[in-house]
Amino acid sequence: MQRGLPAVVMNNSIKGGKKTTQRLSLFNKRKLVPYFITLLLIIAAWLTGRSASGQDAAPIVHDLIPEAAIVEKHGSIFVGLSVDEQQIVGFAAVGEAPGYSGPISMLVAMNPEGDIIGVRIISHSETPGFFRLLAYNGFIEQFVNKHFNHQFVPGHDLDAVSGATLSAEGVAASARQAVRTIAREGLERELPPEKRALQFGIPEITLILLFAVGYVGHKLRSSVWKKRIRWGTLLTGLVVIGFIYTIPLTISQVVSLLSGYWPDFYTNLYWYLLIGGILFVVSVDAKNPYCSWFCPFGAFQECLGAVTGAKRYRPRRWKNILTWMQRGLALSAILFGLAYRNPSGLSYEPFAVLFDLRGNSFQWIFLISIVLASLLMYRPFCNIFCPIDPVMDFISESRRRIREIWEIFLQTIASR
Amino acid sequence: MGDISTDHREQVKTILFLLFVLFNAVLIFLIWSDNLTERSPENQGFVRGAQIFPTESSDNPLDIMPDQDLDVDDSSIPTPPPTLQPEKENFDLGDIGQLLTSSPITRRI
Repeated sequence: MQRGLPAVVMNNSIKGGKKTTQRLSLFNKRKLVPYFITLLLIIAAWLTGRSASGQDAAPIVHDLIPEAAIVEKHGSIFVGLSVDEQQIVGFAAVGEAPGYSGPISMLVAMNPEGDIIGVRIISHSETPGFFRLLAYNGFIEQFVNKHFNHQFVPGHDLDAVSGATLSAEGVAASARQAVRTIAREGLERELPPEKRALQFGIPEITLILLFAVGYVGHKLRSSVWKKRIRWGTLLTGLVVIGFIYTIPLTISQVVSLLSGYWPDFYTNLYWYLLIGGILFVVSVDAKNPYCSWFCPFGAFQECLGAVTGAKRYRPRRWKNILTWMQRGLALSAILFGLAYRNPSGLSYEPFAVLFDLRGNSFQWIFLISIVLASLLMYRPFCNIFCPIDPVMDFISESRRRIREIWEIFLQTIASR
Repeated sequence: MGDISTDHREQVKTILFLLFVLFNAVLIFLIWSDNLTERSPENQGFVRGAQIFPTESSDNPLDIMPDQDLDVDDSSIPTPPPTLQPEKENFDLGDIGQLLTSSPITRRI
């Protein structure tokens, strides 16, 4: 037994009939230092983001109610008054609701008759390409001239936007909240409670099936069937999660989770199933149920590689540098997202470019480069650039450390 | 002789691989830069009536501040052109996706 170490941190095992004594990795400095530095950086970024203040909506009210000479704040609403302060010319209120990558804040202005006269997005953290789609499709304009007793639901009294469903729902929800506030506090009219139905459809059912089939596939001993099932889940993921619905796991969702920007449960059950399912399996079973089994972008690269028989390539000499580069990219995206409460600020995955044909010039070049490389090597994006892989590693590492601490705790109690 | 050839091939492969990594790392930085530029307040529009104006309220002649004289003849004030999106100077490769996915009915702008 090594000197200076308490007995509880020694793990005795018998290998090949020979008793060996090894230290638990909890005290392995090579792994311990980077792990705790990462943890501290994440905590620091989270605290920085928490203390950042939001944007003040008051100066913007004049833009939306130009007739108002004076704007006063009454409770949660802004009231626009005429020059003589005798006449109310408009009301405004801010609504906030979760979008795809974080909260969307929207200022809504209404005239005293209850018609919306203007809206303005105060802040959002959506992926620019998706959010731009709302403007291109005139989604935000639709609110103007609508009466306060409308439902403001995409697909009902608002035209839905294909490809930016969750962002559109976030904008609509924030508008609904603002309209309700003005109706209650300004117009003194009470609206009936919102009807909320749990959205459970093909994406949710497919996701549950993929988790279940993947779990069974993991446990199979027959490598032939394991391979067949894996290809089945990969192709299903590629078609359903990728091309049809475009809802893969992204670093933005991880940052949203850490930031506390949890979307509405009723309309985003898929988000909870995806994030919750992965966290559950990684924490309990120490297996990554997503990347190799149904990640649509991974499946796409693997399909290309299968055509040419591409093999994994990573020069041994550069292995560590590449690993740390991948971790650095993931950590940068997480730290920036947390510090600025902007989950998709430093996201770079080319998923939307491939599945939705949407992205800027650099994203298109990045995608083309990855596609060409996929023909020569196995999953180049996953193995070199993907930020999800280091996140999974970090969760596994955390799980291992928690288990070790728990074992030490149990041994300490037993020794007493 | 065969070993030297294999070594040489391996070196070329490694160099090409590193060039690929470097090229894409630069692209990632450019994507980040583009993301952050696009999110800047200057590029966030706001909607009034059925129009999206630039964010800078000073550009809008209809802005009325509390201390300003309100007895203004509105007809003499030029109305800003109803542009629904900031005009792009150059065609962006990213527009390809937009053009491909937008039908004439849904693409209003």
